[in-house]
Amino acid sequence: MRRRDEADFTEFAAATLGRLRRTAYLMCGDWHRAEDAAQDALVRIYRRWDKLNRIHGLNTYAHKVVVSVVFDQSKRPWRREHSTAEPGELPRPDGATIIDDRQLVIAALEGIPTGQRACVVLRHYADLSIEETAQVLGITVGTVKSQTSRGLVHLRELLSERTSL
Amino acid sequence: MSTDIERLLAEATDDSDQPMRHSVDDIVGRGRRSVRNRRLANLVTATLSTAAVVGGVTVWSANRPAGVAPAGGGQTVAIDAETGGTIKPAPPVSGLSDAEIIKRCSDWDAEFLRDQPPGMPVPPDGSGPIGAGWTVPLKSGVGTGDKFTALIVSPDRKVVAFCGLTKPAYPIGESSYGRDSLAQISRLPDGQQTKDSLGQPKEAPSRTRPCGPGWCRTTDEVKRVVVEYPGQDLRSALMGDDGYFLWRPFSITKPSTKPAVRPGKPGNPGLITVRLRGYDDAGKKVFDHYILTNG
Repeated sequence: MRRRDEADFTEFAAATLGRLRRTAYLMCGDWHRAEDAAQDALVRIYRRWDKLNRIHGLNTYAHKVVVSVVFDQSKRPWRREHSTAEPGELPRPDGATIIDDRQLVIAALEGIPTGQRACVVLRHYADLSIEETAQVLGITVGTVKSQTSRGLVHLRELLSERTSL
Repeated sequence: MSTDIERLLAEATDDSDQPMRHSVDDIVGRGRRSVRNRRLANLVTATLSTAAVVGGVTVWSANRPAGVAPAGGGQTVAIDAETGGTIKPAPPVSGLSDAEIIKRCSDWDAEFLRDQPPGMPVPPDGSGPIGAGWTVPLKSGVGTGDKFTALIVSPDRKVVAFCGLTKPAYPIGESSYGRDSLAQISRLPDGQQTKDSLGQPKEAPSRTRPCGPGWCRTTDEVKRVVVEYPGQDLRSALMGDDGYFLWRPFSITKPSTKPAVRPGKPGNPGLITVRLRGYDDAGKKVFDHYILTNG
């Protein structure tokens, strides 16, 4: 990679690393895995940096790669997810501390199906449009709408059983 | 409204007590190492694979009963009338079944489709993921070994996928995976490149190209292709169905989205010119094609 390109990449990575890590965290619920995913995603982007259109869609592409890495992580046998977050197993917020609220939200996210979780996170945290979310997940716009809607309903149900929004 | 959910998600991702374990410089370093290792792995794999093929063919040839031709279209060691050199036989056909090859390549196909750059439809060529109904016109490998290179064609004959793997389980091992639209692939001699006055491949005026990474397609009349690699013995290419042939077996190089055949820069030490000659049943030369490649 040319020096100029590498400088551009470094600037891009510095600007997006934190956000990609936070998006990955909402997807997987583990900060270490999230950081690994964000790093892996940026390394993949580095490898294709010369071929990418850096004017349009780079943010969407970065999210596509990080989501792909999180999905890949969960497919590996030693990291396969075993979702046990049934509504009855959600942690109770003792004293409604902020930390408990955070854990409550993460546990609730883990309790909804992966596709719905991805749609909710990309639409309502990463601020991607419906079209961009469809592109990231490789599904239709209609599926994004329905998955997001179901995901929000599901998430609210899980949260409302333990706390009021 | 989902503002409440957005607020909760934003609060849940408060990472002020979760410092980064690695810096951006670490990522750039990993990226550099990744690119470097991939190049090195490609080089080592290509070298080992060539040695394995040559070794395998030699051992097998020595042990085979008289009258049994080597795999790859019944080609035997022959003398090249044009250069006077010995033409080695084509590499062997993989013993893996077509279904097994499609199965092993399907996870890589899924990753390829997932990783399409923004703006590309998924799947980019409209033929869906590889699976039932797809055919394997060409597969190269030693016996039923895990290392193989194969071409896989969609049921509608619109897409050809190139799959080179070294291990049976995704995502382990080196891989080379890509898909090409057959609408952009011509059949040699259409799209043939000749040499220019500087000895560099000269692109023919064609809107299509005859080759992908490590493979090309020619007309059905061509029965034999001779591969000339600089510094190596002449070798027959492994011929498959529908005019597909592999001139670089066990190719574990990342396929490029750019045409594999392109004019090069004179004197570029990283590139070599490979010459491919195609002959019909009667030994008449049908094409004489030059490819500039990085090995």
